[in-house]
Amino acid sequence: MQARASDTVTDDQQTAFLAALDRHKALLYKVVNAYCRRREDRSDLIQDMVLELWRAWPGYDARAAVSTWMYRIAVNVAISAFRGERRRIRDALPIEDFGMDLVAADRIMDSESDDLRALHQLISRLDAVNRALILLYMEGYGQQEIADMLGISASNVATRVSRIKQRLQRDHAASETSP
Amino acid sequence: MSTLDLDKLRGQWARQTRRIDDSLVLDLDTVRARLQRKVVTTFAWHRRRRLAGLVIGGGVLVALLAFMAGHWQQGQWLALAALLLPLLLAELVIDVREWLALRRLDLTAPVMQVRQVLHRLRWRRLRLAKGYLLLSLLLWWPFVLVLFKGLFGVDLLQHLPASVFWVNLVVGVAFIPVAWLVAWALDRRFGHSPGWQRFLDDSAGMTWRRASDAVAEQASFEAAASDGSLSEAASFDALPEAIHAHLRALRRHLLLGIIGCAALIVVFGLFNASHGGQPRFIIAATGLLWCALAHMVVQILNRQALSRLDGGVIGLRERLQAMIALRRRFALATVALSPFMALLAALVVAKVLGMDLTVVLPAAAQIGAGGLALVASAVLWHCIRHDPQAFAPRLIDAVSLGFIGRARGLLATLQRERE
Repeated sequence: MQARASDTVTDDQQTAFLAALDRHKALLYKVVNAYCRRREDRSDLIQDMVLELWRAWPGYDARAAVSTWMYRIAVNVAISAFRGERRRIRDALPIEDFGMDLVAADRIMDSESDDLRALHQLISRLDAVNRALILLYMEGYGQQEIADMLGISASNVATRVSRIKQRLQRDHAASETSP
Repeated sequence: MSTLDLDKLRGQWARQTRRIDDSLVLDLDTVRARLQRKVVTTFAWHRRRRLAGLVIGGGVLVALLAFMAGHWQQGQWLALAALLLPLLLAELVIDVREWLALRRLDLTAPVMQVRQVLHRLRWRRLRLAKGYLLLSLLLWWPFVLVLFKGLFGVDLLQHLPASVFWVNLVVGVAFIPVAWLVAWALDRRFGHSPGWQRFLDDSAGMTWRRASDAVAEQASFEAAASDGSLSEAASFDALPEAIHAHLRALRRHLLLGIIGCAALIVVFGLFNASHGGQPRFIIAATGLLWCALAHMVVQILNRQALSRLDGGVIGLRERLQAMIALRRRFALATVALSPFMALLAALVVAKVLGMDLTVVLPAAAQIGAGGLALVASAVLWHCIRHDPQAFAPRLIDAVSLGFIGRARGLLATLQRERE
């Protein structure tokens, strides 16, 4: 069971956590963006992720990559939100008051190449687990790392990635030919 | 036609991540202040809710055990209380396991492992809800008897004829396979419907409430993405106030319908409690009660669908069309069965007025009325099958309590706003 971070974490650890969060905030944004469309949902989800990361921080093993650890929690929280297993966080703040401005990041997403934008759109059509899988793949994680994070075998990852690629290819072709 | 080369796009993806990292401003002082506040995260909320359930369930269990201990020598009361015990224990066991599982839930674990835990919790909760549904008619009577005896010391067994008990027992036992079949058929028919899943979750008293919302949102998003109308889908927040007002009015209308059906259910329940000793009356009132219940369930589904704001204009339009289709089917079925329902209603109303039609009317008249109802139902069914869309639109709208007309009005308003 995870310890309550607020009870056990020192100021130094909190500073380390915030530094890690600051280094990898784009990771949270990308996961949130893959699972949520509405602005207020994204705001809730990002706050929920940060709070769950904070709760889990005392258990973080510094020998492991912090980005991998963050990814795993972020994806677990996002899928739970996607499947509706989490209710809306009770005292969520507007995202601006939480200290994060998503508008600038949204602008970057919008200004990307057509292919990348199409890819984001196609990813959001995948089911929750495949969505996580392809996010990790695009982030450059290897088969074994993805397998460890998702709890499936490496060969299963390879098969799924191959199928997802085919599906994305098919969907992309269909969206290009449709009027 | 261009191809989507994921391996090539990985480079662009990494560059995009770096640009987002650079552009995202995180105010660390604000986040720090936020972390230092006692914030109830959503899983913590789940656990608290389960804990509250455990405390209440534990209290009820203690009360039931105390009741059993107090009536140790009275076999009938002991048996009635013992009937309630397994379900209550099952509820408590599920609450304890859910609470422990949520306490132990480790979000740093592999995704599929977390999914399995959460899926198991939902499945157990739904299985318990199914148990409640199947046993509801069998156990409501022992529950009422024990409740009155335990809380007020009133011995309803002394005040009511024994036949009330036996009829309820027989109907309750007979109901189990019927309810099982109905649940199986509904699950087969609507198993993949988000609305149905949402209804199941709500019926189970789950906290996994947003499941169907998310699925519906996903479905509408996919629909919008595939027809290239994402911008329209995203414009729900920009809908004019008139549409929101229309939606609110429709929800209020549905709420009134739900309250009306609930009142009818209570009335039929009271009738059953008074005349439950006579099978012909309990069967008649239960038939009417199930009709009211079915209409109430459909209205609850409609209201839930209208309460969702996801999917934008497209989502709303699709939900409205699906709701109209569902209400039409229900209204048509109700019309086809109406001759039988009229007979049942006549039996119940006459009894309330102090007249037993099965005694007053000669056997030939009763058989004739039954035959007439059968023929009328068959004719109505034939007409409906012949042309369901054109069949008595005003009557169908009236049977849907005016919902179909109002929903169509909203659809037309949506169309006008779009133009």
